[in-house]
Amino acid sequence: MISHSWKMNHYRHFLSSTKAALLLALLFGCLPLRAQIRGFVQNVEGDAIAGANIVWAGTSKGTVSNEKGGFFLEPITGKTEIVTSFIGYANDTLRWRGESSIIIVLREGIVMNDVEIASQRTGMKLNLATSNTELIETADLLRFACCNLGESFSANPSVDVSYSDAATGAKQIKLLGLSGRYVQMLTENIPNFRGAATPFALSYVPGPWMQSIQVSKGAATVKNGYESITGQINIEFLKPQSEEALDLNVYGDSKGKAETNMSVNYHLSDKLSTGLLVHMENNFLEHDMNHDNFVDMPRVKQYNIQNRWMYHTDLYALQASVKGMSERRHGGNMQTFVLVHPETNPYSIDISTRRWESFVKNAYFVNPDKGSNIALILSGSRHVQDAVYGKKFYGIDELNGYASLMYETDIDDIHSLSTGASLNFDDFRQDYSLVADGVRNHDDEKECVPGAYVQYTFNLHDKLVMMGGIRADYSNLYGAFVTPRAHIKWAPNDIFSLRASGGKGYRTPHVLAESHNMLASSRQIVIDKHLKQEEAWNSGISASLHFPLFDTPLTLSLEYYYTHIINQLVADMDTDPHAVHFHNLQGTAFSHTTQANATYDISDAISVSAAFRFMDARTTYNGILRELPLTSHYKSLFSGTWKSPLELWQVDVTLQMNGGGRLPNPYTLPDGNLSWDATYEPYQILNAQVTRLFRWGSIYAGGENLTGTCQEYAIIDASNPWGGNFDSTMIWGPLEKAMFYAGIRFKFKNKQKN
Amino acid sequence: MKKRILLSVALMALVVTASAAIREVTLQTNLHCESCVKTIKDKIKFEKGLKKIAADVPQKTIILTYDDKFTSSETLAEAVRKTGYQASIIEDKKVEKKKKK
Repeated sequence: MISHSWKMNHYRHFLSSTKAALLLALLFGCLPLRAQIRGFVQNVEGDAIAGANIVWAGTSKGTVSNEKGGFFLEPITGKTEIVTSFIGYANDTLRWRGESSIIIVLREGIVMNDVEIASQRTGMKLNLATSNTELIETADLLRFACCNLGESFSANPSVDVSYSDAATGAKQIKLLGLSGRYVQMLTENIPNFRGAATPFALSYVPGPWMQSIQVSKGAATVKNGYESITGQINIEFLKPQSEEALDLNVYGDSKGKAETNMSVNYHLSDKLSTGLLVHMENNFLEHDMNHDNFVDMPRVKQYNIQNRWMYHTDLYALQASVKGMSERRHGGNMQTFVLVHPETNPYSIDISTRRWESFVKNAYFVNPDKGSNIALILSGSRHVQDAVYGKKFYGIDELNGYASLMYETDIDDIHSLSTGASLNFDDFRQDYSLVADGVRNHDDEKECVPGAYVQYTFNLHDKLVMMGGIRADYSNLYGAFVTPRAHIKWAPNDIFSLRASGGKGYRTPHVLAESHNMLASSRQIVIDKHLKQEEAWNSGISASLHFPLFDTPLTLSLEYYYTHIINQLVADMDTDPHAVHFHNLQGTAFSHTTQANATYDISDAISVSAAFRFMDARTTYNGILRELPLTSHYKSLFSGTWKSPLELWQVDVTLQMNGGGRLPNPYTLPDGNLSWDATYEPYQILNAQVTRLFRWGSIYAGGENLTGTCQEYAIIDASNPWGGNFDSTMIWGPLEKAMFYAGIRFKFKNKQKN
Repeated sequence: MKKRILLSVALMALVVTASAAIREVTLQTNLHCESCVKTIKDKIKFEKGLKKIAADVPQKTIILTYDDKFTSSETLAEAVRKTGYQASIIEDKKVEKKKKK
């Protein structure tokens, strides 16, 4: 993002300061010019605006800016006014005097409160992106109680979110039918939430902090490293350079969760701005609706704070951030939370986490004529976690350091090049006991991976885009490895586009750091030595159609992805139902995913969308190729939005229909029954929310899981957590019945400056 | 006497209520695209008494339906001007009698 903003800032500077440009403009103004006009659309902070409409005033002829904010516009004889518009920004009318290049700067014009930028583009596909990318915007995040990142995908057809177990409240995502481990998580386009942050990462990002989420499926760009296999999820936080305002959000639900969020921006000068994001949540009630003597959800108390800075001049930009988080999760037997006789010996789960993150992004525009820029990204994090599961424990102190130096340049209007080098360092210091009252183990694992990449892009007026990249990295644990990736997009017109992608990805497995919630069971944990790097190819193709039907737009898309896994960290829970065995893949493993989407605005007031996804993900367990356990065969999603004529009221409804699947092999109990069902049936989840907007903010109320779907007896042998059959990991569906919530959002603007 | 006063007040209230009407004002503006419409709509939608916003982009007009008990055409035109667009009233007509209470 920074590099794009540099590019545009520079062009603005270049055009305003170069006499040659003026001469050319005057000259071309006198000629019947037929060459295309090249331009960029950006906001006042210099960030590219993708998807802006650029039309000749008084006509319907024009174009749309691409993901870099760039566009090509065909001149029309006699027309000199170019009108640019984008939702959330005031329109701009530019008088064209024949320039071959123009910069259009849009100012935020309608951001009266954060709900007002709600647009018709909910969950839209980024049609102009080279990869198959879905954009979840602020408006989407406000449609439901998106208290955190994990809850932000409730209306997204591509990302599945489910509980990892019935005891810790940990949630996991799945993309393309495979574990979220294979999705590279990014914040502000910097790799994040790796290793020990993985199990609970979805709760570490408060919903009101997020500006948008981009979900890219399939092979990703090589710029961000080699770890993406099934895709990337990038989170953009609220920006300090946005309008000066104070936002407050207070939330409460029927399960006893209360939450407060605050964000404030302050502009110290035209060039320097800062922002503060604060989050506090407290799940202060324990409840046991299925009467298994275990709390359905752990009591969670979290404090989260982030301070951001942005400094920019015409040729330089700097972004910096520091973030700290403290969280405690307390679950287990209900008796854990009351004073009881010591002999009752309740089972308790207690997970304390402290996490610190920081990053600095620098970007400098080197050669204005070539649009060249150089960027240096530095980031670091420390994750300290102490987890106690009954009489077992796991503690980690993880350090991560990351540096990335990138250089980008346009060779000409069609060809561009990007190259860079990176260094990633991980240090996992772990203390653990995998058996009750067992021996304390300690290990220290360090991995250092320097690497470099080069990426070439061919862009023929956004109609044909081909991007190929390759990177080479060297790990002190696994040696050298190469990551090739390629994308192609063909969009001959505004109606049809076709994308294809292919590429390889790798990741280093960290069994306990990523799966220590498995300790919330009596399963014996067996970890093979010499675990290999996970490695897979991913390829996919997607097509989309966008055309008006009865004067309102209909968008249809169809996509298919295949992941061929070369090596995988297999968690075998089938061979021995009282154990989980982590080992290298011995055989084949793959995933096929086919998804169809349709979105349609029935009227100005009602918009609907539907999606269906079929998944076939298999892995070899003990020599037998079997489908992945706890993974639904299909998912369909229907969502609808109704808005009142003035859009002061909004109702959102989403129905999720999940297919059935299998559970890990059960065993036979002494009474002849199975320990748990071998399969689970399809189930539905209904969410709904009503929002009322006001000048000062909004009030919202809604319900989750209104169908009341709930996995009864989610914990196996819950009455005997110290016994050999206790298991909380057999989770395929919701753990709680219907939940109701309400909240209020305030926005106070600095009227003197806005 | 007291009854007469009360009756008079009630009658006046009824007349006032009955005379309150849903009106439609057409404003000539300098908008030129759908995004302009959205900009204006998002900025004026909280105006008291405003019922509906429609626009005719080729004609560069905005048609606002409002309850004249709570606002006036000039108030709404001023609200549009505050968004940065021009607004002059070209028509203000009654479109529907408000239901008598």
